[in-house]
Amino acid sequence: MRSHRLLSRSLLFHLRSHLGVLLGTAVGTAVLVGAFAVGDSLQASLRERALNRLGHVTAAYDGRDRFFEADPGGPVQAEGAPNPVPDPTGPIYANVLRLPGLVARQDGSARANRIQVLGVDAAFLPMAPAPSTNTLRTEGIWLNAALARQLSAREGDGVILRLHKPGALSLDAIVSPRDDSSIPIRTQVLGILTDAQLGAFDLGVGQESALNAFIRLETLQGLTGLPGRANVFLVGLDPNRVSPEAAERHLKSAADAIQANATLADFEYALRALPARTTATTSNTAPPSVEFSTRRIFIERPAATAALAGSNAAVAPVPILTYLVNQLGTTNGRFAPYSMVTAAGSPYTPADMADDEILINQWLANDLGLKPGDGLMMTHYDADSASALIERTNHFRVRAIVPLSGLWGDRSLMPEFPGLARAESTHDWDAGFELVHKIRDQDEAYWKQWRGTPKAFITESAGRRLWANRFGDLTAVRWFHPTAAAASNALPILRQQIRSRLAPDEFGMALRPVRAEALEAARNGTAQMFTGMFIGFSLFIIASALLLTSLLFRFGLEQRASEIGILLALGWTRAKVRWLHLREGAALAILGAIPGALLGTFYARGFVWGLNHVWNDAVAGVSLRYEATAASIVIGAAAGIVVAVATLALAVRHLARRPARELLNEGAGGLVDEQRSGTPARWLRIVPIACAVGAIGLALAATRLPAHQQPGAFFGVGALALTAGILALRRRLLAPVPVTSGLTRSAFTWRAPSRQPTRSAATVTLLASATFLIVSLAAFKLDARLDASRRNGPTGGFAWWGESALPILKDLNTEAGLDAYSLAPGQLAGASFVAARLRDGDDASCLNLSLSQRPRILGIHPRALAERGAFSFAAVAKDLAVTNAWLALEAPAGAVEIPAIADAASMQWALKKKIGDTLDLQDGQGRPFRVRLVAAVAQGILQGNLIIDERAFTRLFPAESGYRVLLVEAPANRAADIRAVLSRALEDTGLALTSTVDRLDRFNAVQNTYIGTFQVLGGLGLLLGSVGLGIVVLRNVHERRAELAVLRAVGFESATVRQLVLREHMALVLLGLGMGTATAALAVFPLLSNGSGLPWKTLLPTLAAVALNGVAFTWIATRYACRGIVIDALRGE
Amino acid sequence: MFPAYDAPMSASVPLLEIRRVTKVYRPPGGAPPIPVLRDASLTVTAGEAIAIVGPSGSGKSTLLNLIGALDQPDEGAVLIDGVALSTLDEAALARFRRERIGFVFQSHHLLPHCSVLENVLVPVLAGKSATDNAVEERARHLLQRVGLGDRMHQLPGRLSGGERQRAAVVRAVIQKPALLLADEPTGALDRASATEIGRLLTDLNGLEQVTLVVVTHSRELAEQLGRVHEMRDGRLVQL
Repeated sequence: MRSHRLLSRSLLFHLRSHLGVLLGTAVGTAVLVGAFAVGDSLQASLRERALNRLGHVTAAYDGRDRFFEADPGGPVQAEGAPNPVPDPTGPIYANVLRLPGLVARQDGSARANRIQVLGVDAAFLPMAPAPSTNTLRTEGIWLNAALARQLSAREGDGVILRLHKPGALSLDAIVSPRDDSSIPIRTQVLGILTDAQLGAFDLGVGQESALNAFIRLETLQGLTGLPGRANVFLVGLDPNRVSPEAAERHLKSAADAIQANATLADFEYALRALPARTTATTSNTAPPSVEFSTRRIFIERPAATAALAGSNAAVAPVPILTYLVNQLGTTNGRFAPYSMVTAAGSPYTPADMADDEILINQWLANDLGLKPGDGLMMTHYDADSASALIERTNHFRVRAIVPLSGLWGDRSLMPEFPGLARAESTHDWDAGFELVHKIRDQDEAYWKQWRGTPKAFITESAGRRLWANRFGDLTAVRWFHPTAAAASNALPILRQQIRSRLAPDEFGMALRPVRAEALEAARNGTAQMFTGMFIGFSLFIIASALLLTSLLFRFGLEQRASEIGILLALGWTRAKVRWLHLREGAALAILGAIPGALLGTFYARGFVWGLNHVWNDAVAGVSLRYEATAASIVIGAAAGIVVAVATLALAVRHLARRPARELLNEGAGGLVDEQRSGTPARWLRIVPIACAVGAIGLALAATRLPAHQQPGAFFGVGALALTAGILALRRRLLAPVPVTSGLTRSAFTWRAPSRQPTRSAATVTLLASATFLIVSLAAFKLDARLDASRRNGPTGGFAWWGESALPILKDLNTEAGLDAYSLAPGQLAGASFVAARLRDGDDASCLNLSLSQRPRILGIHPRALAERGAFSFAAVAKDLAVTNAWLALEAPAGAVEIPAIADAASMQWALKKKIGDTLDLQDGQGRPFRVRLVAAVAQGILQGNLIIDERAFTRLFPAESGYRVLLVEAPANRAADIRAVLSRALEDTGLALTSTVDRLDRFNAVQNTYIGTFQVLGGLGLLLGSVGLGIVVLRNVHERRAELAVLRAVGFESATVRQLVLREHMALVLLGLGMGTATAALAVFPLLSNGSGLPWKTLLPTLAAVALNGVAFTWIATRYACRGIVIDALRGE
Repeated sequence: MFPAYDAPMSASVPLLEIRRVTKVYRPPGGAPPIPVLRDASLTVTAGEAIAIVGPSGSGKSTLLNLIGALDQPDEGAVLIDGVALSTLDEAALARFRRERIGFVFQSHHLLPHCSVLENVLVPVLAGKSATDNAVEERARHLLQRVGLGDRMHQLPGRLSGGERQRAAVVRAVIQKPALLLADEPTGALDRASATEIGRLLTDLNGLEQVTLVVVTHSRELAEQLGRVHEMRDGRLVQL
């Protein structure tokens, strides 16, 4: 006979007693498999959402404010190259003009404030898995399902679409027009695009469905004045037809093609030949030239560098910067308002001209009565001061007076400032700022005759010093040639040279593998974390299942103690005995894991249902579908087996430690006399008292803490009290029998648990700890209403969080700002504002389950928050040398790393970073930059954003105009009025104001739902644990059958005996529940004291169910165990 | 409706009468039934001390359980004070056991979590919610008498086998039973302890006027008692 035969015999013989072990293992395995399967389901659902957003789109270039030429091949197509031929096994291309906008029903009954307006053409349709065939044939718009839902819109409904008209210049730039920045379009809904038709198209990785309005590309180009232009280029590959290797090849080739084939026009730059400007005298004749300029007005620095380096030595480039100044005047009070001044070197200014010298034209000299050597004062707005309109004044000395002709009479020196260039009269100017200086008749006449011809010239270096800004420091570069033919010949050469020096990467012109990124975000987001969290949620179920398994296996082995004793007595080593039984346990674990794995898939289905219907906030509204991979099931089952075997190993180890004699005696039914060591250990006397004192001290200290810190402190109070209670109970159970002269039934009942002090204490500890955790976790449920009005609270003291589709350009804290939106000062009395710039990106809040790869960035004025002491910080970098962490955002312009702040939750979960870590991001031109996390804001309304200094923001994202996030502080009694006024006044910007409490509630809902889930599953675990209690009762009664028989023999009625047993064990159940609930009440004291209260609706049924379950199982176990007790126990023969 | 037990009826009635009792054990699994007692009869008057001897499996303990109302005969009757136990309901049987019967087992079956004194007092709780001074005094007195006066507040685990059995005997007589049933009371004890217990039982019979029915293998103990019966083929035969 071999040992495995012994093993199989044993397994079969003890099959009945093993059924419980099999069941326990199955439950434990089911929960583990279920947790992995839930993780799979979440990941699969996120992946599905990602693919729904992208269809066949595999890579994309998102130009944002850069509008490339919308050739069929987009920037991939070389200049003059034939259009690409559609190939189902190859890449397809589509140009999209994407603009932010808002849309409202014509009857005003519904509106959506932040939508994507997508200009698409026929090339876009094949990007969808199931393209719509009739889309885009007629004028009107198509809505996606999410937008249609929000608007309650159907085909044929009338809507008003308002979209941001991209200007040549950022709206923050001085001389940027205001009036035509948004375009209202009255149109009709043509239909609803489903997800399969790519209605959900979005390049971002967000949780919320994008709100999309589709419109014909050509129509949108016409409406926005961007004919033939687009800003999003899509590369699509049908994954069903193109292998991953081929896809990779195609993408590389497309990426290379952009680098090689993007034209100057794609960069929004142009070269043109300018004719000679001849006059009667040769001294001021302007020879023919080639000019490099941009519709963006200011030439970006990389482009300027390329242009200046792109000339040959024979013809030197002339950098030119022309700017609108407010006044040119004399010291005796004569002023000419609003004039163009050009900064340039030779030939416009003498080579030896100093930076404080100026050339003025004859008209200005006559107007102001100036002559060479006179002083001249020039005022202008700081080019980067945006809506603040900071005016600077500089003094010059007139070097010479130049004629208003030829070289200096060149109106083309003025860039195509959008609000000025096409104005017939100064009255038509839209300079972007209020014209406060009187425009005289002669000024009007000058404009009519000479338009923007500069009235003065300063050196290039002086110009750069005065007017260089974040957009650039040149408005043109010119190359003068002796003849028109030479200029004409030079033009293609320059084009080639400059283009060859322009690196598309530096302008952010690169294909992003959006599909791979989306899948990566779905894979590496919170889905994996969820597997761990669901295991955590199910911890009590796992623990209870293991407890059951362990108890049943151990009791089974104890019943076979004599068997083990015999093996030991026969010469088996302990290790061999242990190994034999461990193998038996392992076999049971494997057998139990098989049904467990199957059960786990049902558990996961149930959990997925719960997440879709009950706990949907935990997954931020994502609709999950069940999916489980074979790997997850195998891993879950293996984990279940390992955990079960480990648990059983402990049981076996414990048993085999006992001597053979003892085991044999026990097998013969000897009395279990627990030999106590006398008095309980000294630490059992000291530690409970120390814990109780600690709990009182901590409770006193906790009352002085801020409200948001109290839950943690009071949780500590409860935990200390629970520890004190449990240890005191243990001490009481281990204490010597008190010397009493008499005996009562209650004392007799209460004495019984001390028979097995460890088992009794363990029962109470398990129930008390589980109850404590389940109840006290309610303390961590977040209530957005707490501290809502405190500036250092989670709302920062702000009443409203506003986000607009179109930028807000004026400071609403100023009268001028209010005036710009036609608001009287009294209308917003008591309100104050903190505005933030916004760079759209991935939501980094807990509402986004995918990995946030490009987080939303807020540019905020740090002092605005520091001075009001807004928000509080969960953690700050140790080396911060500032009094307020907000000030740590301020860093010198040249700093290598930009300081950044994020909220603690976003940092930990969405960004997976900690204080001191860095993030590599891309600026507005696609160039890399690095931020360092210097502080973490405590949980609050800033969640989901990376916050940097506004100055750094405007440097990094010069094209992001104005403010799109508005924090509004308002007195509680006026908050609603202020919201109504603001919403009306800023309606055209699409400002949506959300109550900060509501915003916080949305974030809090995630954590609160997690806690709720834990409480429900913890309750189930506790219920399962009470089955274990029933088993303990059975075991206890079984061990005491003889004692109980004696009670019957001496005259106790069987009902009385059952009652004694029942009471004894119910005392343990109630003690556990009571101790857990009482100490949990301490832990949730802040909730009880602030009126939030506990979620009794879920807690009471849980606790009641546990109590009833405990009673039921104890009763059943007692009935079963007491059956036939006398006869069996006393039949001695 | 079972009549309530109300004893004793009269002095002329034997304390215990076993009339043609038959008991058959029916093992599970369809094995043939095992007759243990066949027409067994016995009469014991108050104050008697009898021993029942016989080989293992002869039915001695079964007989004792029938006498103690812990089991029911298949045929025949067990009468105590002239009352057939089969006519009593459970409550009445419990009361009967509480007030008229004392049990001593081969194993002492003391409650390990209760002191010796408390163990002795436990039978009182079967009828009352608390013990009174009189019974507590009696318990102390009896424990003093059996030499456990200085051990009465200790747990049974600290006592020797003989001491435990002495405590079990005291527990059996604390309610002043008319009939003391002892099932192999010396079976698990050494010779000295067994002698000591035998003496204690006969003392109780003499001093407390307790009727004794003792099942034993010990010839020495049997000889200390007045009458000896042997279980033979399921019947009681007086020796």
